[in-house]
Amino acid sequence: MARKPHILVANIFFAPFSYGGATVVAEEVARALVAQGAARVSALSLMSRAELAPYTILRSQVGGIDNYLINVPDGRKYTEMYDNPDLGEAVAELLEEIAPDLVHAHCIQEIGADLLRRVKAVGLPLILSVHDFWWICERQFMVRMDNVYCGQFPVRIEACATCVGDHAAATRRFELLRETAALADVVTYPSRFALDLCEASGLAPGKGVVWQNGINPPSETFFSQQAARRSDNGRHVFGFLGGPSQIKGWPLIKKAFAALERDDFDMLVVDGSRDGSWWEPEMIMGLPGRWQIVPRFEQPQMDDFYARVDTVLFMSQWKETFGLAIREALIRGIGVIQTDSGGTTEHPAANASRLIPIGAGPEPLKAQVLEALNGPYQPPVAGIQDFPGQAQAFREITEGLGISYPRAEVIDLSTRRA
Amino acid sequence: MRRFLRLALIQRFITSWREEGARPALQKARNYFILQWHGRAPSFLRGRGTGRTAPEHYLRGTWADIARGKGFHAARSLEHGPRLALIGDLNLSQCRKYRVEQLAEFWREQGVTVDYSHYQDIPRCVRILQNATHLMEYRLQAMPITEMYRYEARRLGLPILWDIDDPLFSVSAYETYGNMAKVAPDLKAHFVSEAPKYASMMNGADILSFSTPGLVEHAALYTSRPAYLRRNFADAATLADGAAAMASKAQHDEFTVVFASGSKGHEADFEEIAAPLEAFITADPARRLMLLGHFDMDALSPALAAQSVHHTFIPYDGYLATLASADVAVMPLMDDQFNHAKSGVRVIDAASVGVPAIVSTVGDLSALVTPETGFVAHNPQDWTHALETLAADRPRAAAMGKAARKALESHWSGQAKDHIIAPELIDWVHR
Repeated sequence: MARKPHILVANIFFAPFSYGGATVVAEEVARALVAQGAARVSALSLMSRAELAPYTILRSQVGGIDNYLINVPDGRKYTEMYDNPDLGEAVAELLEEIAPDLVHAHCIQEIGADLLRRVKAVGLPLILSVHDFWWICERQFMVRMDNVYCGQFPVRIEACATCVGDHAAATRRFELLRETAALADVVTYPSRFALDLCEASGLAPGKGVVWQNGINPPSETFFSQQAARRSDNGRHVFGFLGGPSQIKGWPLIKKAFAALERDDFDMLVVDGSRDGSWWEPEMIMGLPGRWQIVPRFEQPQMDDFYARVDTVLFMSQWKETFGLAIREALIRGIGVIQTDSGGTTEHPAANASRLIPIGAGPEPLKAQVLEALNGPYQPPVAGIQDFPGQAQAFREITEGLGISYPRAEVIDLSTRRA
Repeated sequence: MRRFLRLALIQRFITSWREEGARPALQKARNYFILQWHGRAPSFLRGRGTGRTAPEHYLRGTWADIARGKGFHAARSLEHGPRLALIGDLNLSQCRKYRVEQLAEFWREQGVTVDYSHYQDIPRCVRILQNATHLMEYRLQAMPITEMYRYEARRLGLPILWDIDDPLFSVSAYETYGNMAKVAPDLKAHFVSEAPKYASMMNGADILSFSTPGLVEHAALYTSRPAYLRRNFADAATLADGAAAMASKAQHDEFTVVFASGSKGHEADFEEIAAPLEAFITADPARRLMLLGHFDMDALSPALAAQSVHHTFIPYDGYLATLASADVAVMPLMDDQFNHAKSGVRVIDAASVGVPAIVSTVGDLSALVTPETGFVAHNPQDWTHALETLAADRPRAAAMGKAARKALESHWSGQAKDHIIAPELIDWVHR
């Protein structure tokens, strides 16, 4: 059997410090590759502890995957957040020590572009994955200072003058990141929308491929758990996983629900912060129905949450690149009310006529909420990619870069964490 | 100030005030201004911990964090072969050379990667542990930071070897060590009080290595851990420096006997041969005694002092160059438990510059001497006989020096053979 290739995946966060959707993807693909017997995977991520030497490296391990944590100092400067030679030095040291066969720069905001230079300096194949708009927008999400989606297509840095703190610095950042991204052999995007926007904005044109994110499918017991809850409690349950911000559509949701003239439903609001600081009880006080703030959950607890929900509200007021929660819900037979928000609509159940335009008022949402309360449950949607499938797609992309994997072993499709 | 009064910022503030309330809006504005004022950028990483922790708490916060994330234990990987982290007390130059630097050289020649660090360099020590497959400790005693390294090594699944070349763990050796009579009582008391800390460290390791058979044997009184021999040897630097010293050796008419002392207290060893040596030197004005390193010249009689020269502590290359000017090196040792653990480094030094050695039967020195390369003296008469023989036949003395050098290159250089390193230690590194 051929030797397993050693893949180093760089992601700002990684287990044991998991945070955010891109981290879920990085971790789950890594686990799937390991479970498939396809590769040895190590991770490079960041931490920030004052008592440790700056840019030192500590190794942690979860599920057989080494995570090399580079310690970055607090209070880094603007330029250090996207191009940091000290961090690049640590990366070069690590590359020498662990000798990977391939580097996957997955979600490298704060790690910065020097990683790409260091990887190419030692002649390794390099895949860059773009998950949001960090590469073309210093504010990362193309959301302006006034909390409104910027809407540029393509992004022209000249138009960012009123949005950024220092336009000359933002221009240098924009140009450097475009220049450095071109070092990658392949650039992946989770959606066609993201690819088109980034390439049109000058990010490594012609190198992009769509590499759809996977999700963790429901466990074998999920649907019986869901059915039991639905038969016990006839009340329809909505779920909202965004924060209480305009950009996630909270004011819209609040207005739409305040205008409802019925209260025979429940609402679960997930506090996605790490310290439970996003939501306060007064924010939901006085709204009809029974509202509850629940803490964020990790992937293994996902089924427990979704078994309690019938319809997910995805009211994002900006064009996102993917939208994990939408796919997680649809595959579980949970309805989704969503905005027309970029890559979030590239799934099999998308219906253009039901996508709520960004910037619309509360009426369309209120109408779909009432339909959900009166209508049948959404059946599970087929054709949504899981993480083993995403890992398989990764193998196909990287085989084009000369990476050979051992001949297929029995693929364990239940690569979810217990 | 103008950049803070932009329309977009004012709009952002008003929106935040309206949607989230006055307090969050003011808090966000304050955070924004502080970051901008200091030229800092916002980060998704929450800075944690404080820079004002005690050295032994360097890892405490990180351990807690990764334990909470269920990432505390990290198995090692031998996929790229062994990688040794060598942490030691590198303050003593001779110890650093023979037990750390030459060990690193030895393993590198065996294809093993080695990183080493002085134990007080905490960031480096912790850093080199991260990708190591084994931890080797040299001359470390139990103390908060060494216990922290041990804990980190165990977290990373590393087996641990503890190495030493003096019986620092032994009260019985220190209390009967003759050289201690020549140093301040406080220093002796210090060594005795420290011994349990070395013993504790020794007993917490998986495997032990010692520089001499005598030390292996003595350690068995203090530990049940498996203990093996790893002798000091002539490394590449010694052989090269020695060759350079030999090449620059000046011809002279005097017959020079050298006594080298790397630390305080060796006057007691010197006294073992003071009488026959004084008789030999003072018998001929063309004979000279050369003393290198720490030595109390008051220990010499006026007659002997008149024919003696003392070079105090000098760098290693200078030491070899000076040593090369001698015709024979004498290495007496008092017969005590401490000296039974002594290695043959002085024989190696002398042989590297082509100088034959006369050694006592104590310690491991005699293992490195053959009739072709020097003399083993069992009693005062043997010392006299050896000195007179070499002085009477200087070509023979020179030939013995050359033979010693040749033996050093062929037999006592860094090689993976049983007389240099026990095979069990090599197996351990590859497991």
